[in-house]
Amino acid sequence: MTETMNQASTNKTYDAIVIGSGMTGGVAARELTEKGMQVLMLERGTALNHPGEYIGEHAPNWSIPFGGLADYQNYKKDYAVQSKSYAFDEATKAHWIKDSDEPYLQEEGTNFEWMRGGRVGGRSLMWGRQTYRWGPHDFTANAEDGHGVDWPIRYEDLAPWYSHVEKYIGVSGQKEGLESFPDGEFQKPMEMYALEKRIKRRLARHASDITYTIGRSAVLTEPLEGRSPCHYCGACPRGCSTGSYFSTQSSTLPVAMKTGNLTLRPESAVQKIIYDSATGKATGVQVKDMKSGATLVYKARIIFLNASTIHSAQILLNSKSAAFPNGLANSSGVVGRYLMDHNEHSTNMGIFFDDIDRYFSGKRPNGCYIPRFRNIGGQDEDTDFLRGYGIQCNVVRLDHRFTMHQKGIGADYKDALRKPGPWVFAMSAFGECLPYQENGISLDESRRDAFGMPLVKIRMEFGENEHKMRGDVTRQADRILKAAGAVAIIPDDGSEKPISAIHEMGTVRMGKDAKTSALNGWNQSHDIPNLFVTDGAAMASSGNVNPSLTYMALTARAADYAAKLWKKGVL
Amino acid sequence: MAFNQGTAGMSFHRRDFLLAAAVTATGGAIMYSKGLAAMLADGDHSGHDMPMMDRPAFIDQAVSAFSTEKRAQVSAMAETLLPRTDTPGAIDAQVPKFLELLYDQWMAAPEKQLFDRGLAEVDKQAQAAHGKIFSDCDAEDQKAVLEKMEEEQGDHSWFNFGGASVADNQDNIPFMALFKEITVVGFFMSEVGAQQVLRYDMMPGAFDGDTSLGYDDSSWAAVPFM
Repeated sequence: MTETMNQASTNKTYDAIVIGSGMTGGVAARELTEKGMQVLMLERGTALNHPGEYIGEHAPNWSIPFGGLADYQNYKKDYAVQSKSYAFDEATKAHWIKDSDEPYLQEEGTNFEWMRGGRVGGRSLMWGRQTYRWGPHDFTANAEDGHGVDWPIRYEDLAPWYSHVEKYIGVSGQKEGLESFPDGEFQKPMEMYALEKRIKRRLARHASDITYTIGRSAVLTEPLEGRSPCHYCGACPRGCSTGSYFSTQSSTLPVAMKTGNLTLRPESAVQKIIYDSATGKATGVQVKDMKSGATLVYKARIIFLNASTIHSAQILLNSKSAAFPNGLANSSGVVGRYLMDHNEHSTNMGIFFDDIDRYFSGKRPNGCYIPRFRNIGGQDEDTDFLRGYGIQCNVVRLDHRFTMHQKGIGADYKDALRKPGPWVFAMSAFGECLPYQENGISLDESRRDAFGMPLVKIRMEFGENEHKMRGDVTRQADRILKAAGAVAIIPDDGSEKPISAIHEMGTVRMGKDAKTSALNGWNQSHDIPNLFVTDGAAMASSGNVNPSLTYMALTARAADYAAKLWKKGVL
Repeated sequence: MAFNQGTAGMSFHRRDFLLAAAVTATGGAIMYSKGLAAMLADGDHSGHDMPMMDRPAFIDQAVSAFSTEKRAQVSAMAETLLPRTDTPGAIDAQVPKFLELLYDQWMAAPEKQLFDRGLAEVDKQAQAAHGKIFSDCDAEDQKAVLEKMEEEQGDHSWFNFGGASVADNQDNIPFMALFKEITVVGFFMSEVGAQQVLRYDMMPGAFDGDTSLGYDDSSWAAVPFM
């Protein structure tokens, strides 16, 4: 994909408009165009062409401004939130929004870090690439313990769509045969470090309830659709011109473009979705052209809203009419509510004396994973919290970035920093967050951002269940590290951190009942039959695994459904 | 791959890189993209940001923020922290210039003041203990001055295992934390530091998690965990 082939037209009625070009917008565009539909994809951010425009890719260390030190004066001014992300640096900066362009408000006493993509491709450019299916229990949890509304679908409904998407995004991983942690369509798994193999053997003996597996990652280990296997340069979010990790640019957009049915319009900020009370349908979208400032209207028979969880709710809440005074598709009143994010905490860390003489070549952009082992198939006797968590694990051979903090001046200090330090085993738990009505977003009509939208005000806070779960994470991490053979354990300091898993979801949830949910089992608005919301906003609960694959599978399934209705002339 | 692992004096031209990238191809599976190759080959980057791999090294910019005396003192201090041994030292890696660039472009006013106060204190302590300004002291005395400064300031949390970067937390950072961190970063992120002190391989092509490591082997140059 080098340029937009088709020119967007305000005179034409598209078969579908896809709002957003990130993880799910790309999947929607691919699925709909492959079925023959004429699709207009609108993206607020600027164009970013694959494969030639990843300016930080393979940047030699000595070309990076300030040696990679955070440019704190600039970041405080323009990137106050985005710069907190692990994936933000001078070589990825061009992929993020500027916080100064679109600030957001927070309810006092709450602290949520909202990370956002500023280019075509959205956060698929900088995502962590961890790719897991939900288990069957995730779809029944709400019904079983009464938190949130029951999902309108079950694992069996989504399983074929997981397979469908996995086959083309490309997922490397190891099958484990666990019902609660379903296997997918995997390319061959990445190799483990020697220490990881050792830890795996020890856990099998001393903590046999724990599964320890190589991360399931949307990074290729085998060729796929013209994309190359990973070359292990290490810093994926800088962009990958060999298309080795899944992004809109590497995977879904080129296929959609190739059909000839896609028109991509970057720098097009959707303000609202237009509703026609005579037909009861959405007729198109109002867009602010970020280059000219002009307001344009594009028309379509079907709308896919994929602007990302918070922006999708923002657009709906901003699309008021006499028929929908509280925001479009919001007769239930749930739009903007039940925001969730994963209960993520880095936890106890272990130091290892094993494999001091073992090293590595290549930077593997992936860790290991311990799938959920708590409260599976019923409540564990020794837990005081509902649901569970998975743990992302990384073994890291420390280098000067860590060891520079030691005392010392001169040759001995230099030599200590030159050579590898000890191995550490770092763990980060991602826990399920219950859907709480009071967590969510509202709009402040008195202030507008650079895109002409009312500012979002966010209220996101964990509850008692999440706090109890964190206590269990610390205890279990201690058990795991002892079983794994750590010689020293650095405990979690228990400090409160901002909520920042970058897994925000909810706000336009699916459900069986139009009174308590916004979308049905096909991600279709209960109120407006030609409106589909298939990004993280649609989630009725959060599960505990990284969510992108589930969003993509839901999107492909909804697109298939919508295309069938389009073909029949229903939509 | 000629550019890997400590090729002395290697400068990084894009043609070398593209060639190297093509050589890296394992079984023809990894080829460098035609798009990026074309973009680099045309040499005209107007209208969009230039790929970092095709930019000059950060250190290659002109800078004139220090007096001759200040430059001499900063050079002596950087070399005292990371001296030339059997591998290059701070001066070989142009760290003094890196520090001058950071002073000029990166530090906010409070950090500039902290840096200047630190230099003044270093000279003051050198005078008091050895009767000379720092640059005029011999290497052993220079080391003693910085060690004493570090002892006086070393109870700050920067000196904790895994302490926070001075770029992320400017609260009450002592001079020695600022000086050590920016000197270490400038050194190991430099072309000389990455290739002749550490080991550098931009396009490994494969992952092997079980290679052997000798007692004296260096780390890989750092790549961010993303």
